[in-house]
Amino acid sequence: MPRPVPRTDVLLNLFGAPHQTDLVTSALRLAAALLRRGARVQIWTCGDATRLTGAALGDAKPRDYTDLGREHPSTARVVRELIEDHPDRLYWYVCRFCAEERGAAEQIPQVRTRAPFVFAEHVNAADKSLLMGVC
Amino acid sequence: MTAHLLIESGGPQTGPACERFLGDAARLARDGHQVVLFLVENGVTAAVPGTAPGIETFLSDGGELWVDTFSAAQRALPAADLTPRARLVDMDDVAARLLEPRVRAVWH
Amino acid sequence: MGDQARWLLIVEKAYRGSIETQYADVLYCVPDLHRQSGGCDLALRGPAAGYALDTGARPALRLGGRTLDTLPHPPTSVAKLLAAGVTVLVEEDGLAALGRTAAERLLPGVRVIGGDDLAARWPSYEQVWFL
Repeated sequence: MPRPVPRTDVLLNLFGAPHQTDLVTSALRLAAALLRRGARVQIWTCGDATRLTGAALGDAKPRDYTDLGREHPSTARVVRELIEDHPDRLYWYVCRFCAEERGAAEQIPQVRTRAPFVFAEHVNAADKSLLMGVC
Repeated sequence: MTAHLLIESGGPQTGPACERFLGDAARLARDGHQVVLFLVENGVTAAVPGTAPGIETFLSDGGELWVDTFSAAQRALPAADLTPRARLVDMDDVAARLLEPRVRAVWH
Repeated sequence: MGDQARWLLIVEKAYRGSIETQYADVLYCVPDLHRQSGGCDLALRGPAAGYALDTGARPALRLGGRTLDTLPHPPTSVAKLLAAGVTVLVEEDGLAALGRTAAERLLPGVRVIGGDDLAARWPSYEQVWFL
C-alpha cells in the first residue's frame, strides 16, 4: 500500500546535475533556510541529481591525497544528516527511472524512490513548487 | 496582481538566456506585478554595472533586486561594486519570501 | 608565460558544485598535470577569474546540525599552484566583470592579460585544453 505524499509548504524539484554549477549547494541552502523557519519541505531529484543519495557513495568522499587526515562528507551523508535533523519536516524523493538509468538504484534508506508517473501527486501535495535546473 | 520571486543563477556569461530572463522580469514589473529578482551563484555578476543591460531596465520598471551574500563573497564581489539599488540578502530572506502565500517563484 | 610550460590549461566554467566537490575542484588536478607534463600554465577566463581573487576566509555553510567547513576555496588552491611554479594568468575582461575594484583583490603573483592575447600564445604550447 503506497504511503500518501505528506503535505509540505514547498517542493524543491532538483533536476540539474551535480558537479556542473552550484545548484545543489543552492538547493540545500534553501532547504535548510526553509527548515529553519519551521517549514515542511520535500525534495524530488531527477537526472544525475539522483546520484546525490546513492548508497554506493558511502559516508565520505575519497581521501584527499594532499591531506590524508581530513575527512570530507559525501553528499549522501550531508543529505542523510539533514533528513535526520528534521524527521517530520523534510522528505527526499528520488525518481526511480532516472536513478536506474544512471546505475544508482541502490539508495540510502532515508530517501524514497518513486515512479515518475506519480510526480504530479508531489506537486499537488505542496503549496509551492520550484523547479531547479534541467536534466 | 501577483507577487513574483524570480531567481537568476546563470548570469551574463550564459548570454542571451540571462538577458531574456531579465526581460521576463522587466515585463512582469512593467505589467504592475511586484517582482523581486534574486541573483545567486554566477548570476550575482549581473549586478555589476555594465555587465547585464537588462538589470537597469528591470529596475527602472519598478523591480526589486536582491543579491546573494554567500555567492558574492565566493567571488570576492563587494557591495560597493554592485549597482546601488541592489540589496545583499541571505538565503533566510529568500526562504521567508518564498513562504509568503501570495508569492510565486521561478528558478532560472 | 612560464618558459618551460608545455601545456596551457584554460578554466572558464567556474564554481561547479561546492558541496559535492569540496577539495576536488577543477584546480585539484593541476599540480599533478604540471608535474607530469613538464610544466603547465593556467589561464582563468570569464567567471573563473574569481578564482584568482582574495575572498578572505574559507566559506562555511550551516545545514541543519552540521556546519560544512570543507567547501572549495579557490584562492588557497591558486596560491598552492603559484607556489608549485605554475604560471597563473587571468584575462582582463573576466576580471572587470567581477567589479570595478576586483583588480585590487588579485592574489600576488597572478598575471593579468588582455582579452585576446592568450590565443596569440597558443602555438607555443604542445597542448591547449579547456579544463
